[in-house]
Amino acid sequence: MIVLIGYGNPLRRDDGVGPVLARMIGTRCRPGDLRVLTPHQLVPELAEGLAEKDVTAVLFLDARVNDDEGGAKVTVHPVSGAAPSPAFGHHFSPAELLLYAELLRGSPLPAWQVSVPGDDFGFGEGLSCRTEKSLAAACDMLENFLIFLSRQ
Amino acid sequence: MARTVRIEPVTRIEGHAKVSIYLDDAGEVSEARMHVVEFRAFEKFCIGRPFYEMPGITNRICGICPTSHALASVKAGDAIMGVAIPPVAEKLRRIFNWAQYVQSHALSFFHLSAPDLLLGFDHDPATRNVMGLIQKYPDVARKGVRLRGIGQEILRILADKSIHQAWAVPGGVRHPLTAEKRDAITALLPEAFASIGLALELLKKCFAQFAADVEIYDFPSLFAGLVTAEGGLEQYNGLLRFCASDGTPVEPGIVNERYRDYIDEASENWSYLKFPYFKAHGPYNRAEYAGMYRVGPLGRLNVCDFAGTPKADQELAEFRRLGNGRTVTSSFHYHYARLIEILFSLEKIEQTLREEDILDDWVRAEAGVNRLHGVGMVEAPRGTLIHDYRVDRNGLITDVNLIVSTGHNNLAMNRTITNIARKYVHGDVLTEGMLNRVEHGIRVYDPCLSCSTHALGRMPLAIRLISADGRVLHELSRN
Repeated sequence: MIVLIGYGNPLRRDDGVGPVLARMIGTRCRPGDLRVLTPHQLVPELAEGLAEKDVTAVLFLDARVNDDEGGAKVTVHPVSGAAPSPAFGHHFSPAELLLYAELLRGSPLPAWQVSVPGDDFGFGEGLSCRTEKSLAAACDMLENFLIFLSRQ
Repeated sequence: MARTVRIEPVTRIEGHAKVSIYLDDAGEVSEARMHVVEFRAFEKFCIGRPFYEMPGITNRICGICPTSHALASVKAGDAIMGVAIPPVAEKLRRIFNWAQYVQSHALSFFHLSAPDLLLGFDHDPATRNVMGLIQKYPDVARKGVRLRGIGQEILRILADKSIHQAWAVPGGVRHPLTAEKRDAITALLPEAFASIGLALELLKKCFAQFAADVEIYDFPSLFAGLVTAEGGLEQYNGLLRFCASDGTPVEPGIVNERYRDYIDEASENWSYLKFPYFKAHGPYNRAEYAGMYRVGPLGRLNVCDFAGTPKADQELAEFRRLGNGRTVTSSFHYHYARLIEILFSLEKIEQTLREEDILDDWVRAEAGVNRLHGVGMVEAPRGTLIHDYRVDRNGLITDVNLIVSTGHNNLAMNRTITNIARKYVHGDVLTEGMLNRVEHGIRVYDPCLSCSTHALGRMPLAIRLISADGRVLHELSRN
């Protein structure tokens, strides 16, 4: 079981692209292969679900500010668990949540951060035109990546 | 030479704050101040919106206690409509609120405070966090995350979402409880009771270790919170009671709409968080903490005569032995009070779900605008939350006043960190343990600065020791 966590605030335009993309992927995959979650933030109780033994990998889908350095492309990077400093509040980074889950499950969990470039993070619903247009390609790329993961 | 120590930002609270510690010429602490440095202006941009939109707008104030804002808002809406909501709708709203207590208090205790309590203030900061807690107490950490998850799950079962729900509305709730949902919630409770039992046991074992700290957090003040008509612990709809440090009622039961006769708000030019105070003990004088009162778990347990559920009453009796038999005046015991309230909430959920009419489908009263003013007051996990709206005859908001829990505790938080700083800060030497103790002095109130002003994101931690002429004499930072 691969867990796909698309997180972000849908009331801040492109910040909500993670949940949108996660839901799109969810409609294309068989429910038994993929669990799709779409929280606003990475909160502690998500670690419990990731700690379940049938979870084989986790993908964190989030928006990033489009600086054009990556050519406005969706990027995928592996994530390693990392302990927070004492400075943390009510939510986690992907690395912190991953470590939390790994400590609870007692074993490593392969994880990737999928970053989708966004242009508009202002107040409002709906994605910007460029981010909206990039969704189809992002979805294809992620679907291929998930097929690759499922064959590992 | 007079100097200032700044702790910026305070961590493991929701939102951003910084602390300045003012030293006198002898190098001793004269005062500590918590600055809340963010600004949101919800009270302004809600003007012109229909009153029935307010629950959906104001529950976006916060991702941690949106349920409380929604409930205060719908209660203000009920008042504007001039309706008494159907009895089952009130019961469902109460379950909603108790579930919020479970998730919010569990987060505060297990994730934010347990690292201090179970690992110690002087534990290595690299592992003095929930990860360090998992490594040393894996079962506690696991139960903590489960308990928080159970609270969230009950909210989701009731309202289809665990945050920012649109279920509670002026007049009642959108849809009733089904038997399937009732059974799903009931099935979660045994595990929750077991987890809170473990937490209580662990916390009580810590008291001896923190005896000196308990004393530092001890000071006289008023306490405030809602109580039932009989004087019982109340979190949704009751009379606002103020009592003195010794438990003597100062105002035994204020009707919610009259809160302005008893509470006034002052401002300081160094913080966006207002300073509410009890008017009869005014005028406002921060140096003397005039009119200071404490709300939240400690306030509620101090103002009530009894809890009203068997297990919580048993714990309440034990809790009161930590004080004078009636009130507990050390803010350190907010933690204990918080756990008792989780226990109380679980018992009340269990009791209420057993009531015969709980599946009744009459859950919403319909009405238009019948009053031009409505006050909604609830007890949020952090304390008394007041939404006060004025509308025109079309129901459009013309004025909003929000007094949030964290604001009520502002004077007390400043008093607490002053006490701590006086004990632990001497001269120019800053230590990690001192820094964390000052932070804990704020964290024990579980403030939600998102609610009081604005917050998201995280920043590194820095403390600065600054001379009177502005030079940085010493600086500590994390990250």
